This record gives sequence, structure tokens and C-alpha cells, in this order.
Amino acid sequence: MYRLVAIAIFLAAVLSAGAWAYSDRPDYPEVTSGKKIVFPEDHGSHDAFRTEWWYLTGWLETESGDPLGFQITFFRTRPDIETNNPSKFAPNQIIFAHAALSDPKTGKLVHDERIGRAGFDIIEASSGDADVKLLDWQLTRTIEGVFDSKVAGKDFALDLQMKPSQPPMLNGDNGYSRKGPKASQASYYYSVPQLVVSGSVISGGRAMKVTGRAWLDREWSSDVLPENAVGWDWTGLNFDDGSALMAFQVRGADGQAVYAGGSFRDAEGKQTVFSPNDVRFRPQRIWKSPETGAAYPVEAEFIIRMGGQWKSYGLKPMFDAQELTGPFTPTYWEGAVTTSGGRGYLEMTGYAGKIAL
Amino acid sequence: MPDHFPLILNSIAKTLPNGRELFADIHLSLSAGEFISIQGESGIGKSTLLNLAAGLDVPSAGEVIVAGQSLDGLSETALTALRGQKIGFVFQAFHVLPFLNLIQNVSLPAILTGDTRDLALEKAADLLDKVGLGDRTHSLVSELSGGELQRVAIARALVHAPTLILADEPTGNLDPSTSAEVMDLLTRTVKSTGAAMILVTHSAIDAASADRRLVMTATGMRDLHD
Amino acid sequence: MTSVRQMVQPSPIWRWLLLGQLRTFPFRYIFAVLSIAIGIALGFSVHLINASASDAFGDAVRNMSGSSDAQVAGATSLGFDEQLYGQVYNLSEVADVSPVIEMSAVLGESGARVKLLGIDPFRAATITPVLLGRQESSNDQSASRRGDQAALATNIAYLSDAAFASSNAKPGDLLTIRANGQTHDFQVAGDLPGIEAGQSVAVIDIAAAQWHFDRLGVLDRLDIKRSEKATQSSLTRAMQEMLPRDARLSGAENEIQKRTSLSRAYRVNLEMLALVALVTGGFLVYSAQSLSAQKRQQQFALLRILGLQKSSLQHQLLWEGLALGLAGSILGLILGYAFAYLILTIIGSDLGGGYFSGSTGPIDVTISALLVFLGFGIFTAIFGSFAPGRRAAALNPAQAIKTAVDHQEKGKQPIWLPGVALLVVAGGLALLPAVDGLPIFGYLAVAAVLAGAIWLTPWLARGLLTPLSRLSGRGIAFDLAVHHLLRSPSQAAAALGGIVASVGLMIAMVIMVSSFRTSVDNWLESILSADLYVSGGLVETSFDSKQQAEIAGLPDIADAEFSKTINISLDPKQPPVNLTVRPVESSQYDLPLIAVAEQRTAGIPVWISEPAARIYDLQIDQNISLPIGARGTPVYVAGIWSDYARQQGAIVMESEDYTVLTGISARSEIAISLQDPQDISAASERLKAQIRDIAGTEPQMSNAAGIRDIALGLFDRSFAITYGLEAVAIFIGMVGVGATFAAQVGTRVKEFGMLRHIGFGRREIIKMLAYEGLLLGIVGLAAGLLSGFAISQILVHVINPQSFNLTMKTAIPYMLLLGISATLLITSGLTAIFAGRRAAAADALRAVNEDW
Repeated sequence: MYRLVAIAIFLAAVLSAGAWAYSDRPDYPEVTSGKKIVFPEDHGSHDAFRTEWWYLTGWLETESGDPLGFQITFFRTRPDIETNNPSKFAPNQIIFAHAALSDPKTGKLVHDERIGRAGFDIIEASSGDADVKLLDWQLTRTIEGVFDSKVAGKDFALDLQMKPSQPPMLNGDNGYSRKGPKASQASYYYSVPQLVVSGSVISGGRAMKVTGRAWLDREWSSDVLPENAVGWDWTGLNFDDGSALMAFQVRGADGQAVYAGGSFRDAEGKQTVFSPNDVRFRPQRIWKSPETGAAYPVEAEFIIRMGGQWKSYGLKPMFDAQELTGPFTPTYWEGAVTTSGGRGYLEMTGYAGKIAL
Repeated sequence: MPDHFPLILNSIAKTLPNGRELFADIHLSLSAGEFISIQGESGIGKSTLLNLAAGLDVPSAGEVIVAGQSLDGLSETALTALRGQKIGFVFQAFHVLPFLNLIQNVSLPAILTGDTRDLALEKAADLLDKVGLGDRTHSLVSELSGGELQRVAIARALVHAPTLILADEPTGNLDPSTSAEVMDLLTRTVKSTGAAMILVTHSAIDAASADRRLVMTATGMRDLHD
Repeated sequence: MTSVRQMVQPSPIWRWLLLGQLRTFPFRYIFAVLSIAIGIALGFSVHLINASASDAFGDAVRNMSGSSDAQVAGATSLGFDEQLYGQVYNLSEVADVSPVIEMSAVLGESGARVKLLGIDPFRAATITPVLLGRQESSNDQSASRRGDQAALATNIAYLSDAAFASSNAKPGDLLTIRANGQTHDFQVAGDLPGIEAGQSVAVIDIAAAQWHFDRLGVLDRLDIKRSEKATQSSLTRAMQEMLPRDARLSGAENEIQKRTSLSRAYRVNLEMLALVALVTGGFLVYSAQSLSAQKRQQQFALLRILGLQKSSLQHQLLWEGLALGLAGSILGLILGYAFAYLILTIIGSDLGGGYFSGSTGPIDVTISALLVFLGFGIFTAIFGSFAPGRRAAALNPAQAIKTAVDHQEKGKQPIWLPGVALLVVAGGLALLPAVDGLPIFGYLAVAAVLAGAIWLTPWLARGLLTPLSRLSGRGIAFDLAVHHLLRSPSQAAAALGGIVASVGLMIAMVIMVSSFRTSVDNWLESILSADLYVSGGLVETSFDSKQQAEIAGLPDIADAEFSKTINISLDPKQPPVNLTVRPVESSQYDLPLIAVAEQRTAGIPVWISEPAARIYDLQIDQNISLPIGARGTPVYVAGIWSDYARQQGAIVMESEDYTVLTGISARSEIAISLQDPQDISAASERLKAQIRDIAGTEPQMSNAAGIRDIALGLFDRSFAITYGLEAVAIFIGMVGVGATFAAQVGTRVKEFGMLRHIGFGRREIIKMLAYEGLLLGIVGLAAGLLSGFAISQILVHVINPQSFNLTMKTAIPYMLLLGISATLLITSGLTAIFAGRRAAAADALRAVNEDW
């Protein structure tokens, strides 16, 4: 109750503040179909768009065979404030990152985050290739095309090199991925599945060499979610046979899909793009977070129609408590999951209040 | 001048720093391989004479010539080098270094005159053999008797094939029977190398084995049987 | 002509000699190595503890005040290039940086003055969270959420409680802020819960600050958090290398820190003490090597007869010394590090002061420190072993090989001329001025006094012992003891060298510390004579004449004196000087004057602190110009007062004069005498509230007695460690004496055997040795006391004034010195007995027959 009041007053402050910030506001470009996605340029930042992320998830294995799940995400936001402030400290771009490590042995998720204004070369998202720097955290793409990321949190650190074994997969209509009924409710979206990971992890005071498989999701957009959406459910799965599946549904307040979509690419590279009617999401087991009280369907299935046939992909979590909270991040569930013949990550947002991007 | 005379003392005199005159105008020339003995009372200046011959002291007058080289005006460095090369020493108190073994001790003069370690040790082993200690090359000083130590000293005195041996009361610290053995060994071994020797001693018995016997008195030096 | 053989380097001989020596007499070398090692260890550990203590102290102060580890501040109000922010972040010693704009500003129509800060909330959140604003009606103190655009809007401001009060603004209001000649409206969004009460602060976004107040491209401050692996010193070094001229580095300034610049003086003196230990170690090596060389002189003689060149022999001894020095130094560095680590872990960086505990930071070892100490050790070893070795090698071989070790001096008169010359030189050096703020000549004078004292010790021994030798009826043991010492004074000197050095320096330190403390105590008493002190904090408090009168009239107050302190620059190359404006003639608190002008001259008098007088070379009655008023103000020096707190100098001016000159009657500090001094805590609570009501800001109050206790307590605790280390130095000296004695006694074995043969009992021999030890102790103590006193005077009147621009009066702690003397004498007697017992054993008989 109080939170709503607080939000209301925030918004009031925003609006009255907005009234004062009368000069130039950013002009966010619209996401349209027909734009050609080229690499390596589109691995880099698209500063004009409102929101963008580089989202890495994956499964790791230590030398002794223990599994770990990891997530590293860099966000770029172009806030809706006046753009004519010549100061180099002006928050024209905000870079935010969080990282998490799931360890089934502890049954807990450790995570940490960083945030800052872009500037002075110490916080930047560069264009031209993947190159994001946030103080001591980074994600870059080397000359050989390997995604290299180093993050160090309070209780853990990740130093991972992720080598693509397959070309990027353009989602939606050649990268134009719709999220709602309006044509502008879309993002440019591609994934790089089946990344071969090597590197090291420090956790619980121990340094471990790891290998594994990861998934990179890349999206940028200006106005992505329909008004009646409260959140979404998404999965990215790497299959042992080399195929990859991405599926999502955008969810309304009633729990029903507002929109849906996804892609499947087989080992040979043949890609199938799903229309909203081809994708269903069915919760199976609910887990209630003791910390926030949100109820997540941690066991669920995506049911996909491909080639006229409905296939079910049941997802089981590595463990239940993989919820993410933080001072700068909305609360959502992001966890390592397994399915028959593959594994990946499941992301469920909007279960603890409407998601705000 | 040829090497023919290992030592010539030419009219040497020595006055001590406190003014006392030890001797004035002493002549002595030693032929190659010659063995002379010098007897005399304690304190008469016998040891001083040896020091002059070795270049360890400077005469108040006169000239010392060792192996054809005059010591007059030579630098400290030159004196040391000449002495090390041409002269061997046998002391009353043995003066064998206690923290080296026998073969190391004997090899010292050879190393000091430029031999490599291996060559010097070879020569030392040879000489230890000659003095009858060939099987004790690696023994330590503490294991040896006085007589044995003096034998080591003899070996050491000869390892670098000097032209002159200076022996100062070599049997002074030994009992009579050992003395006789050691004197015999000393005389034989020195003769066998062809070196000349000056022996300073109290003992008439020791002095008897010399080719020429001298005696030193307050008035100077003369042959014993004068 | 027979050619002279070239000089060959007999390396196998050198190796044999060294190894042979090590095998047969290992303890001699171990002792020498240990002597060096202990000296270096002490010195190095003191150096490390110093550095760590100053780091940790600073950290504690900063933790207490909740601020960053270091700050880069603009040298002027123009700030510095903002690009420095990124450059500083990239230093490996820096964990995080927060950029800040800082200006004076005026709020709205009320004209309330505030300190205006522009921050980046994301950066300030991790380093200086006290600066973060709190949104009204939200308990979420974090300045922004990802989705909360309000905080990113560059037009909102947060005010501190005091700012709210003085500007009459409310959250949600539109507030006009005026700064740097520009005006802009901001919406008041909330308050600053982290800012102390009484501080008027407004916080806005840094981009807004730059844009709206014409500060584009510059910053005023960088708040820095140090990375875990770096120490404060390594951070300071790294920063100083890269700062431009218009930016300066500072640690968190704090009142406690200001009052404890005393500890700086203490630390420097500790380093001196470390050198003591090293010198002592050097003497031990010298004496050990002297003896060793004496023993080896027959061996040297033999080798030289057999053909070893004198210079070769000397080279070998040099290499031996070098090897000794290297082994000892490396061992010493390791021991020193371990010792420092132990002290820091067990006692803590506050050295037992109890002011802060917590993790000790990493110990900062610099390459230069390592090399310096290594060099010291090697130099000491070479010096200690070369000299005696050289002497032994230079003897005439023919003589040296015959005579045994007891080289009696034959009653030769010890040469005293060089010793006296050294003392004269010391006197001359003490008169020389400092070099670049360092009392180099002072330290050299100390060294010269020590050297001279040690040189003259045999002469002193002679002087003391000769009358004793004429004393009859004391027994044979006593006579023998006296005569032995008389006949071989240089043997005595070898034993005494170490003890004269350590005793002399310890006594010097004792006198200096006592003088220092007495002076500080007296000074504190005079400077903290009021009951309470009121001062400003982040923003200056200000009391105008009306408020001053009101405050002075408060019932609790018996007397209130108002003052004001500003910084003025007398010389652009020097840090600014404090100018304190306060009542002087009419004041009941006297300045601790050390010099006064004879009569009142016409003109405006000022009283300058001693450091100011020394730094700017000013005397009584001298005219100077102060940068007050448009064209400067001529004043004359009416008096000089002592000041142990402000190293940069301070000037006091009569309050009335200042008011007349500048027209400013407002003052910001108060010295209060209470009606009832017993009731301090209650009174200060009441006064705080009352003054707040009168002046509008809540004052900061300090209790004079508390300050004094803290300061003296800190002083005492600091020097506790000094005393501890001094005791260790003495202990080393005694151990050295004991060992030297034992070794010497070992060489006199023949003599003892002879004595035993002629009927001298074992007990008699031990008695003789006890007397020798006691007599040596007396001589050593006498030399130590004399040289110690001389050195203490150099410390008190030359070194401390030149280093810190403060003088003190000599205060000799007689009881303490008496206690030390007694302890020393007893210990030296006991040491001699202990050493003698071992020597006067059965082996003595055997020794007579031994030649080697």
C-alpha cells in the first residue's frame, strides 16, 4: 500500500520535475522492420535508443565436475531528461550491470551490481563492436570474436571467455522482434547461442577453472512493452545436439499472454521463427520467495508448435531460490534450468510488481 | 747473475730499533744444494739473520742476494713474490694451519706461486708420500703427533721446488728420538731436491749433519772449527 | 734478472680459509652476522612500524569521520581539470573516485549562506554516502533507482537541516540558488540525513552544478577510496606523481589529527633510535672482528711468509666483510619485517594507544627502504671487519708469527687528539643551520659526538682507573683487574664501544623525551586554559557583536572571549599561516610567550608563534606586512609564543585592531570560562542549546581538560614503545659486551692458567673478572652519561628545532637516570662474572701448553 503511494508521489515528482525540465528531450528512434543487422557494428552500442542490453547466461562446470549457473548483464539506458546540458557529467547514458552466480551446493544465488553515468572513459558503452566498461566490470569482444567478460562482486568474481561456435541468430523478422500488437512495440533482437566458455570463477574464497556453454541475448529498443504488460517469461536453451531455442511470452496482469514469440535453430543452422500463436507458457510448480513474497513458476513448460507439431519443453530449475533483487534492479527470477536434451536459463519478470524498464 | 748461488749475504749488519747492534759485517754465500748449520746462544741474532735472508727484515747495511736477485730496493710485493717462489720454511712451532687438512696445508706454497689447485694438490700428494705420510693426506692436524706435523712442514717447504730452505730450530719442540728421525728426513729430502738449506739450531747433534758448520757470536760469524 | 711473478689471486686459498674458519670457529661468524642482523632488524622494523602507524592512524581518523581515504582538492577556488577524475580512477592504488563541485552559495531571498555541493549520486554512494539526499516521504535513502528518473533530473536539490532552517524552505518548494555569479532555480526534493546538525549544506547534481553555475570542465574535489592492496603512503606517492599544479592532495583533516602533530616528532626520533641499533650492531661487529683478527694474525703471518701478498689478504678480508654484511643484512631485513608484523598484529598500529583496533593494513615495503638498510648493513659490516683485518694483515710477518696474542700496549699513551677534534667538530656542526628543513648537520654532530666519545673512552678509562690503581688494600683481584684494564685500554675500548653507543643514545633520548614532555605539558596548560571551546565545523559559525554580547551574558558563562581564525599567505611558496584574532591585552588567557618586545612601539602589534618566527625568519620588533585590507597592513612583532600544534606557523592579533582595520566584528570561536567549572557536561549541554538559539547554528564544543588528557596520554603511550626499544638496544649492547668479554677472556686462558698455577683460586679469578666488568661498566656508564647529555642537548636545541621549529627546555629526569645507571653497573658486573665462570674452568690448565 505504502509502496503504491510512494510510487504515486515519485511519479508526481517526476511529472513536476518534468515540467521544469522544459528544454530539449531525447528523440528516441523507432524500431522498424527492414533494418539490416550487420556485425560487428551491431554488437556495439546504439546510443540513440532508449534501452539496450548485453545479456549473458550459461552453465559452467568446475574441474571436479560441479555445475554452476552464471549471468552477466550490461544495460545501457538513455534517460528521458533534457539533452542540452553540456556538462560531461550529464547523465545522457546510464550504464548498469549485474552479475549472479548460482551454486547448487549452497542453494543460493550470489550477486552484485554496478551503476554509473557514462563518461570519462571509465564508464562507456562503445559503438562499433561489443565494448562495455563499467568501472572495474567489462565486456569486450576480442579480435578473434571471443566475448571476454570480467566482473568482480562482493563474494565472487567471474573471468570468462566465450567463443561463438555458431553465427548470431536473428530473432523475429531478421532481427525486428515484436513484443506487442503495435508495430513500434518491438526491439532489435539477436541471440548468440552455443557459446563455448572457458575461464575462472572465484567463489567462497576459492578460485576454480571452469568450462561451459553460454547464451548471449542482445536487444535494443525505444518503446518496447505494451501498456497492459506486467512482465514476461523468457528462455534461452542450448541443446546437446547443437540446436538452440529461444521462446518468450509477454504477460498481462491476468496472467495471460499479451504477445509471444521465439526462434528455433537446428544444428545445421536452419531457423524457424515462431508467431505468437505458436508459443504457449504453462506454469507447473510455484515457488514463493521468502524475501519478496513473489510467486514464481520455477518449474514450467514452453509448448511450441513447429512444423505443425506441438512440442513441449519442460524446464526444471537448478534450484529454486534464484531470485534477483537489488537497489537499482527490479525484482525478478533469473535462473539456470535444465530441459530434456539441453540446458539454459529461464527469466520471469513482473511477478513482484509491474516491471519498469 | 746466474742462479748458482741461492743466497749471498754481503756485508750485512743489523742494528735493532732500540739501538743495540746485533751484528756488523757478516758475509755468507751458499752454493747450490749446500747445507749449512748455524749454532749460537739464544738471542744472538740467528733468527734475525734468517729473517734478513727471507726478505722479512731489512739490513741496516749491506746487501742480501737471493737466487741472484738483490733484495735491495725491492717493493713489498716483489719481496713477497720472490720469497714465495724461491724459499721454503720450516719453523720450530710447525705452524701448520689447523683448519685445513694435510694435503691442503702442503699445497699452500704451490698455489701461492701460481699453480692451479689440482696441480698443487698433485705435487703435495707426491711430497707427503716422500715424507711417509702418503696415506694420511686428508687427516686433520689434531690427529697428528709433533713429529708427524714437522714432516708435513717439511713437505710443505719443498712442494714448490724452492732453491733455498730456511729451517729455524726445527727439532726444538720434539723429543730426542723424534728429533733424530725428523732431522734425517729433512736432510735427505732436501738433498734429493737439490735445494740449499740453512739450519739454525741449538743442538750440536742436529748441526752435525750439515756440510758446513758455522757459529754465531757477539763478534760475528765464523766456522765452527776455527 | 729473475722476473717477479705476477700477483696471483689465490682463490682456492680464500675459499679454504673462509670455510676452514667457519667450520672451526662458527660461533664467531654467527655472532658477527647476528650483530648486523639485529641492528638492521631493529632499524627496519621501526621504519616499517612508523609507516604503518601513520597510515593506520590516518585511516582511523578517516573512518571516524566517515570520509574518504584521501582527497584531491583544488589549490584555489577555480578548481582543476575534470579529466583528472578519469586519470585518478585508473591508478591501481585507487579503488574508487567520486567527483565533487564545491562552492559557497546563497539561498533564495533569505540570503542564507550554504556550502553547495554538486555530486554524482552513483559515485558518492560508495565513497561518501553522507552526502546522499533522501527523497521526501520515502525511507529509501539511495539516491536513485534505475527507474527513478527524478534524481537524474538536473534541477533538484537536497538541503541539510540547518539549510532548511536558515532558508525557510520546504520540500517541494522552488528555491533560487545563487553561486559563482549565476542564478538558477531548483526544486527542493528532500533532506540530507548524513550531514551533521548545524552544517548548512545543499547538494545538487554535479552536471547541474557545472552547467548552471559556469563550472563546465572543472572539478573542485575528488573523494578517493584506496584499494585494499595499497597503503596510504603508496597511494600518496602515486598521486603526487600525477597531480597538476592546481590540484593538491590531502588526507582528511581533523582536529584530533591537528593536535597530534606531536606524534610526528616522536616518529622521527624513533627512526633515529633505529640508527642507534645499527651503530651498536656495527660496534659489535667491530669488536668481534677485532678479536678474530687478533687470533688469526699468526695465520696471516704464516701465509704472508709463504708468499701471500698483503693486498691479496686485505682483499680477502674485504670480501669476508661483504659476505658477512650481506648475510647479516638479509637476515636482518627478514627479521625486521617479522618483528614489525608481530608488533603490529599483537599491539596494533596505534602502538598500544588504544585509539583504534581493527585490521592492520598491508605493511608498506619500498624498494628504496630495502636498499638503504641493505646498504647500511653492508657498510657497517665492511667497516667493522675491514679495519681490524687490515691492521692484522699489515703487521710484520716475522714478528707476528712468533708472538702470541697478548699484544700489550706497553703502557702507551692513548692518542686523544682525534677524539677531542671530533668533539670540536661536533660542536661546529651543531651550529650549522638546517638543510631543506632537515637537521642533517645535527645528526652528523650526534655521530661526531659518539665517535669522539668512543675514541676518548680509553683515555677516560685511564683517567678514572689510574687513581683507583693507587688505592691499596682492596685485594689482589681488584688490583689485577685495574692493572689489566690500564695496560690494554684498546681492548677495553673494543668492549666498551657498543655500550657507550647504546647507553649514550639511550640517555640522550631519555633526557629529550623528558624535556619534550615537560615542555608540552606546560604548553598545554597555558594554551588550554579555558573550560570550553566553541568552534565551527563544515561551515563557519559566525557571531555578530549583538550575539556575542548575548552569549557573554549567559548565566553559565563567567567569561567568554571571542576569536576568529583565518588563513593568510605570507609567502606564496609556503603553506598559509593561521591568523587568530582574539583579545590579547585584556585576555585572561596568556599566550605562552618565550620572547617579548621591551617596550610598546607605535603601530599594530602582533604575536607570532615560534614556528612562524623560524620559518619566516622574524624577530622581535621587526615590521612586517599582513595581507589584510586592500593594500596590506604594516604590523610589528611584539612577542613570540611557543606552539606545538601548528607547524606551518600562526600569528595572533588583537581583536580590536582587526575590527578597526577590516570593519568585521563577527567572530566564530569562543573560549569560555564557566561559573561552575565542576559542572562542565551539564553546562555545555545548556550552552549548546542556548547558543543555537542565539546564533541559529548549533556549535561544536570541546572540553579543554579532556583534550589535555588525550594529548598527554597519546604522548606517553607513543614513547612507551620508544622506551621498550631503547631497552632492547641496551640489551643488545650488554649482550655484545658480554660476548666480547667472553671472547677476550677466552684469549687470556693462558694468563688464567698461569694464575691458577701460582695459586690463584678459581673464585679469585672470577672476582677479578667481576671487578673488570664492573670497572668497564663504570667507564662505559661515565662515557655514556657524558656523551648522552651532550647528544641530548643537540637533540633538544638543534635537531628538534630544525625539524619542527619548536624549542623546549631541558628537563633532566635524575631519578630515572640513577635507576638506569644502577641497572647498568649491576648488569655489567653480572655479565663479567658469567663470562668468567666459563673461562676459569679446568681447560685453563691445558691452555698453557697450547700454542695455537
